[in-house]
Amino acid sequence: MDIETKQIMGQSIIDWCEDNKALIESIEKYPLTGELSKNVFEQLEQLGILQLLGDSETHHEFDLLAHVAFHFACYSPSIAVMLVQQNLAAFLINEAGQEVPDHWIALPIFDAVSEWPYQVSVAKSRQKVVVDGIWKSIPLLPVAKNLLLPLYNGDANAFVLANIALGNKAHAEQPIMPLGLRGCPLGDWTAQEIKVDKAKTLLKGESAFSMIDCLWSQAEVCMSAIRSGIAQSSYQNAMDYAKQRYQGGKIIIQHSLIRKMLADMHREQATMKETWQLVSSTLQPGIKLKTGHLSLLLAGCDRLPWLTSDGVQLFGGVGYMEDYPQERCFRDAKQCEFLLGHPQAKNFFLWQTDAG
Amino acid sequence: MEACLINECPPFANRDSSITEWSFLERYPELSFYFKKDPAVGARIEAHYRRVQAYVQRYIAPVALEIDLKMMRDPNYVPMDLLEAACDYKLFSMMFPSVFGGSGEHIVAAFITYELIASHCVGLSNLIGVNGLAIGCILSTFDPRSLSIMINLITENEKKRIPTLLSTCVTEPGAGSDAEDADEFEKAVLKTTATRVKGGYELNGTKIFISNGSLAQLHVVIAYDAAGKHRPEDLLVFLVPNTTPGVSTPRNEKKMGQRVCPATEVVFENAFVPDAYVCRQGAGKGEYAYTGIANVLGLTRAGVGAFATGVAENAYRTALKFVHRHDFLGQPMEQQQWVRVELANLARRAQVSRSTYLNALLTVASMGVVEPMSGVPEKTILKELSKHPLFVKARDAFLHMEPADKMFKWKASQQTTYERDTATAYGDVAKVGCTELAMENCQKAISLMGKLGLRHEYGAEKLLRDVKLLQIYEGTNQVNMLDYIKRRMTRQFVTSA
Repeated sequence: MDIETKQIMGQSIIDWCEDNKALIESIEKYPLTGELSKNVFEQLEQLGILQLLGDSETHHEFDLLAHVAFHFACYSPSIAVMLVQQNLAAFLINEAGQEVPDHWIALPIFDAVSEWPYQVSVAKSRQKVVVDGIWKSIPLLPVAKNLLLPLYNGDANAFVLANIALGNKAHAEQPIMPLGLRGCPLGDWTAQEIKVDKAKTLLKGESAFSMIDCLWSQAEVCMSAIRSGIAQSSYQNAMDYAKQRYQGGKIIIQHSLIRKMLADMHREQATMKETWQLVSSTLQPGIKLKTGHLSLLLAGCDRLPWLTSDGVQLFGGVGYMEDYPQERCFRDAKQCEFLLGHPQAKNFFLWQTDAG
Repeated sequence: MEACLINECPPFANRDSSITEWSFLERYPELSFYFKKDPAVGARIEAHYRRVQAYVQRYIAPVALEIDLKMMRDPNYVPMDLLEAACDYKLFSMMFPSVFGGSGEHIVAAFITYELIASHCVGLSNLIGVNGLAIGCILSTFDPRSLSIMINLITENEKKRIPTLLSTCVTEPGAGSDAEDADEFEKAVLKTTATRVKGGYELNGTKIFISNGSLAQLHVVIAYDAAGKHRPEDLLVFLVPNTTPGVSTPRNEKKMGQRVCPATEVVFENAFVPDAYVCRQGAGKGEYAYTGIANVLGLTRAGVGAFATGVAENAYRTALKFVHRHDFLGQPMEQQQWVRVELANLARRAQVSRSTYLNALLTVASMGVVEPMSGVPEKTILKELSKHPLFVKARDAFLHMEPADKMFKWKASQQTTYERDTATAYGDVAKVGCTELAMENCQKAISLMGKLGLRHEYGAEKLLRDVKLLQIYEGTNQVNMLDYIKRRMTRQFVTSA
């Protein structure tokens, strides 16, 4: 994707976010209702950004998805996460040769591939896979009509990506109160010996597992873009506030301590942005991220909660209030630490990949 | 993946077992050194610890998370049952000497109370602990009349099981952290003014982010004398009952955490304060309201250290409970060495934090704002006498008289600048050190717990929202550090002749 196209796309996202500030505000007011989620879905669909990845032939458009996610994250990290998740789900459905439905699809993006075997119990009985247990914290589950669930017990040959139609049960469940990304509702999926037959199987086998493993790896770029958007937003909010807040007889941006805090935040957010853009430009279809690149992205993930904490600190008492944007950056930053899995699980995985 | 995770350690206990509470000496072993020298004081503090622990276990631990959710739905909700129960345990009057009708607990006991409550809900600890700031402000003016008004209100209400909450109104839209720093204070834009009228003053202005503002029966208000030149020495301290015409609390802020302790806008419109409710100031030459407030910061900042220690401890226990019952990549978490080291670090930070605030507290107790009051004897006979109406009447009459005022101010004047500086500097260190450790613990606890740590019902996410405020109030950590280095450096440079 050329730079000009990305710039045009980026500007259209910024324009949309500026025009829809009220909608973004209402999304962040927990919990997201079915009606509102439908509205958001339709608006994003109109922008033509819900199926950017296409299929395995074209999914180097990850670069574009990351750019779009970044611009959304500057305004609403919740929408950015929903958008990336929907694109990943649409890609998987396209891969299976099926038509992508025009509604939200749930996908457990808070779990690393290495964590999948431990979420629910997966057993094989005759030609069916039997699932038991509770898969917790699945984004969009309360408002989705389908759930794509990777069923994996450690044997890649027996891997199944199930496509489960959701009834109204998920909607009736007690809403989960998360720390951040409150616009993107979470749900727990409970399975009591659910049988996944051929009709419910979207993809299966070792090749499917490898493909999704690669998808999860490349999606780290999008998640880093979202984190980077939060970092930029936190920094920009701090800059704007520092230019107008008067304290100690002068505007606070004239205090050297504030300048140092801003300079530190600027360096960190610039590093994060440069990192995902650099890694994103190296992505190739069907090839997982280099471990070095993944390590770079995860380093930014470690720093983000501290950067946004400084952002609140610079605001002082005002930064702690929900009327101002900094507290949301602080909460969202921590929530985003776990996108695509537990950082320690990823760490172990990275090490094991290199160490053999 | 599984191959890299080895179960090296035996389990702590079976998964159904619960975590017990610490005994006094398990939590504060360092204090035994002092209490061996004075066993009576030690026994009193230990007994107080047990009482507070019982209160916390019975009233706070079971509902802390539920209250947080209730506050999210209804920001005006007040957990009155908890506050009424706190009266039964004399948590509002614990710091007052028996002769004033309080329970005369040692200052260490008061701070232990804050830590214990904070180890289950720091918002509730703040709700009760904010009183300490208001009392400290009045204490720092060394005005016995104001002190007796405040103490009588609290102790009399407590007997009737009516919780008395106080607020301290300093912050304004144009005066935040600068109003908490002696060097910056003159530049802070404090617009609330007090105009002299017959029989008292009229207050006008708006205070913001006032903890307990909407719940307080009595506000301690800092305002400039309109007839003055806007200098620190023109500041006045007032006691303003919430029922005073012209005082209103139009809104509570929507806070990220510590929701149970409201942060309120308090507005004064021609609010009349009679002379009897104006603090008499001037403990010796060069003393004025601000000096008093600056001196109280050593005490209150050590108090924030106690809050932070409670949070750090809670983060450790929340993670411990989680780790005890959950697996990571298919293996029991508690049996993995790396997890145990993470847990150890959480416990270590809580322990370092506790030592830091106790260190500051003992310094404040020996040379800070509370030291002049610590000479009041705790005798049974005084305690009994204070129950007698005639004694109370005579005591209050004396406290309103000039000789009492002179006595208090003489006592205050015995304290050196070095002592006050040191106490405040230690308070600064406790505030910054403990809140940073607590913040790190909350971040690390969630990182250990993973995606479930982000959910309200597991407790850790509330801790992270709550802990951030500790780095902001009582002066941001940055302001505290500027104050600390100033107090250190002024003594480390020698001007050449």
